[in-house]
Amino acid sequence: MAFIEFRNVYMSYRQDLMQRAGYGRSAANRRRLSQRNAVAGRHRFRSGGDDGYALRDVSFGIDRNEFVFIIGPSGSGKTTLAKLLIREAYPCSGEVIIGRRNIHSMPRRYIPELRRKVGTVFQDFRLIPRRTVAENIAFALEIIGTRRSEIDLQVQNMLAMVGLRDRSDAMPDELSGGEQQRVVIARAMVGSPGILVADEPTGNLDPENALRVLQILSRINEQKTTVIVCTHDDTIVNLMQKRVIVIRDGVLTSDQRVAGYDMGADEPYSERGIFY
Amino acid sequence: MRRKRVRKSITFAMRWRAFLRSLRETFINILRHPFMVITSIVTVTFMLVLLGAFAVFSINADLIVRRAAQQPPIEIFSEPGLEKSRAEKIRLALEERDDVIDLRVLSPEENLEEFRRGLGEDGAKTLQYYNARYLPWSFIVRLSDPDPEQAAALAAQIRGVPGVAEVVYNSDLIAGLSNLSKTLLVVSAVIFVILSGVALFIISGTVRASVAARGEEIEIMKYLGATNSYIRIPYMLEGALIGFTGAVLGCTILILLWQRIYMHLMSGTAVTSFLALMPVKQMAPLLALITLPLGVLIGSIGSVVSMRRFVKV
Repeated sequence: MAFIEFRNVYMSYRQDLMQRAGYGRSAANRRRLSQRNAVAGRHRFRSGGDDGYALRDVSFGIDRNEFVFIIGPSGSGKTTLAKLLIREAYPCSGEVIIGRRNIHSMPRRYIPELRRKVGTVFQDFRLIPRRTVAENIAFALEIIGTRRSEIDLQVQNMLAMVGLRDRSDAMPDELSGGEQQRVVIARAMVGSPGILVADEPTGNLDPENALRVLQILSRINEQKTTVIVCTHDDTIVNLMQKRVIVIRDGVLTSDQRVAGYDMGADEPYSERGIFY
Repeated sequence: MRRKRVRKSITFAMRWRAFLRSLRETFINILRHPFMVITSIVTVTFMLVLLGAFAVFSINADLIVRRAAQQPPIEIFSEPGLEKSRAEKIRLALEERDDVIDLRVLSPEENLEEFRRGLGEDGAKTLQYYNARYLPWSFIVRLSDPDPEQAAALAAQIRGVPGVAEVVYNSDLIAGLSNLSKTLLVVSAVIFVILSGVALFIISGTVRASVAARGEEIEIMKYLGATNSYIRIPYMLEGALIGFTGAVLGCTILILLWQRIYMHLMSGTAVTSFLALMPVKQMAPLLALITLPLGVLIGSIGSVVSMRRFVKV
């Protein structure tokens, strides 16, 4: 059994949209969803309809300490997959298993613990603007009540890892995009999570900074952390030569464990170099 | 089926440190947006002064109505020339009742004396040869509640005691005062609830603005694995602190105002009069008891209500 497993995961657009709009999985929202589906001629909220799936029967496994790229054009379902891993989104059906545990059937009170074990890196950084770099990184440990001396030590280690020791007192808006992304990685890794999910970590970066971020992610992976990178940038994928899972229109179309990924093989518009 | 236990990686010490940090966050938050906090405090103060003013009014009104209700006593007259031993039996029958808070027994001699005093000097002279033997004993009774049914029950019971000739009480007046007291209680409760609701609404609006301004930060906290309570505590404490400060201010204003009003209104009234208002010394603890818990409650509930949407993990 793989460390992380997606088993026959379905997710309707409608549910995805509602969850994005802030509707949770409460009984009232389930009723609301089923009512809307009933209006649309569908009987159960779990059936999104033929046209309505953000993810359709997605199944794959990821081993411990693996480095995996999930790639696909915009809107293909990469971000939804990443969200499913931190229970930010719920599947209509199917299971998402981390370490033998279906994370979507566990009680809500365990979500914070799950999120401490799955570090997340976002394309839009999401740093707290009024905190310094060091404070932003320390924040992840502060919220779980780590001792101050340990926080300081960990923060210094993380800053050294991402090469930002000299910028520890800078505010986020004083940093370049690449530097901000490195701070986000440091913040995600400071609690030593077993899994790191990066959603378009190089999306806003120039090639040089993108490469640097990938090198950091690779180093993190070497230190026994499972790394999952969702991206539409094929150049970085080829550069890293890791396992590549391709998602297209919510369907898993390819899972190559070979080194490198040949875009030309199944991408009609790969000449442009990127998915869009 | 046996349920697998999830290992908890956070110790008690860590929880305690996290709690202390959220306390620190509370004060940092307050310092970060002082205008918002001041606005909230002023709102709470205003609402509680309004609420407290109403409470002062209703406490005093209730006090006066209760006193007034006890003013018209029930008078029981015996047959004229009743022996002392039989009069004693009537007294015992009255004393046995729990609702009798005050009982004055006047012997025929005392009644005559009072009668003479009531007539003035000239009238008294005409009564100087009048014999008390032809006068009844009288029993003046005050009941604990201005309840007409209670008065009627007492009258019915006492009429059955041998030697009782007449029971006099003003049932309309007692009923009127009783109704007034009840109406006042209901109106007070309704206005109290409405004003509390309005205060809660205003506070939750103010806190909502402050929570919305930090919505992104809360979102980041959730992604990093902060528990709901860690996120909520600073806002709740902030709300409670705002509520408490507003309540202290409101209570102080009310007490000072009441002091002035009391001095002004009571300048020509005796403290023992049934129209006497509640003195500041008695009113102050009552006001504190109403406003302080209410302020803290409104503040913290207002915060929780306004941030529910943001803090759902």
